[in-house]
Amino acid sequence: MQWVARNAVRRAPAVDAFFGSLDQVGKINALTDAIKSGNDPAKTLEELREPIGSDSQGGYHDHHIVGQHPENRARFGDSRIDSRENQVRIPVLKHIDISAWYSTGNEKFGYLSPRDYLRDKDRDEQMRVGLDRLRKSKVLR
Amino acid sequence: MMAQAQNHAASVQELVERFLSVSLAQYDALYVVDTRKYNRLFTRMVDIRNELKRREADQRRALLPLLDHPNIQVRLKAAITLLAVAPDLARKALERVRDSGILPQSADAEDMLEAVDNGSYVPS
Repeated sequence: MQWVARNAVRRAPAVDAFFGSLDQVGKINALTDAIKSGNDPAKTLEELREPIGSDSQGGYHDHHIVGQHPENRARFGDSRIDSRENQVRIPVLKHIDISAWYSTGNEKFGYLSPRDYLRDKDRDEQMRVGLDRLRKSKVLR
Repeated sequence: MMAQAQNHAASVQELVERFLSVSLAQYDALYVVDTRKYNRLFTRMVDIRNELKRREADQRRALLPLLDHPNIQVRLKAAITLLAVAPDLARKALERVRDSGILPQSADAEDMLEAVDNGSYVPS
């Protein structure tokens, strides 16, 4: 709950991208949905994949495990990147945190960001790192 | 370059204070998901670590008191820095951060402990 409270009041570009375009009622609803989904327990991979392809749900984002940036799309193809196997529906605040983690310098990856470290890695390694972070972020069990 | 020059001229105590200040600023940057700011601070921290390491007898040990700092980001970054010079204490601090469950630091601590154990990160 502390985590939800901390995250729900964040004001930053990454958060504004989610909340910024909404009107006041929309923002309150989005915030309520984000708080609710932030309390989700960790789920299995199947449970996280199951909603992919259905209508979007408030409080959740569809997350690509192997990143959907242009280099990956060129290397692995749109169909694999956008496949059900490569996507999970996760709480929006966890999605914001995980996306930030991919973009920030990290001692473990030779001081590169995980995204830069993974740039020349094969799909299996990118999938392994992506699932590992979902697990450690308590999204995946 | 200017920051590096300032670090060269600083005392060990000043470097420890800078390390603390940068860690706290990192915490704030993570709190608001400001990745650009975090990355600038990350580079500054690497410079401070390198300067402490370069000093006679490797002065990274001067960060040991930060393992008990109330801020979790300070404890995490001090522990990672100290892995090479005080591995047992650093490891215990990382285990405490991991076990706190406070994200994202708990995930980062778990990551680092695994990397040390499997040899993919070798403290130096």
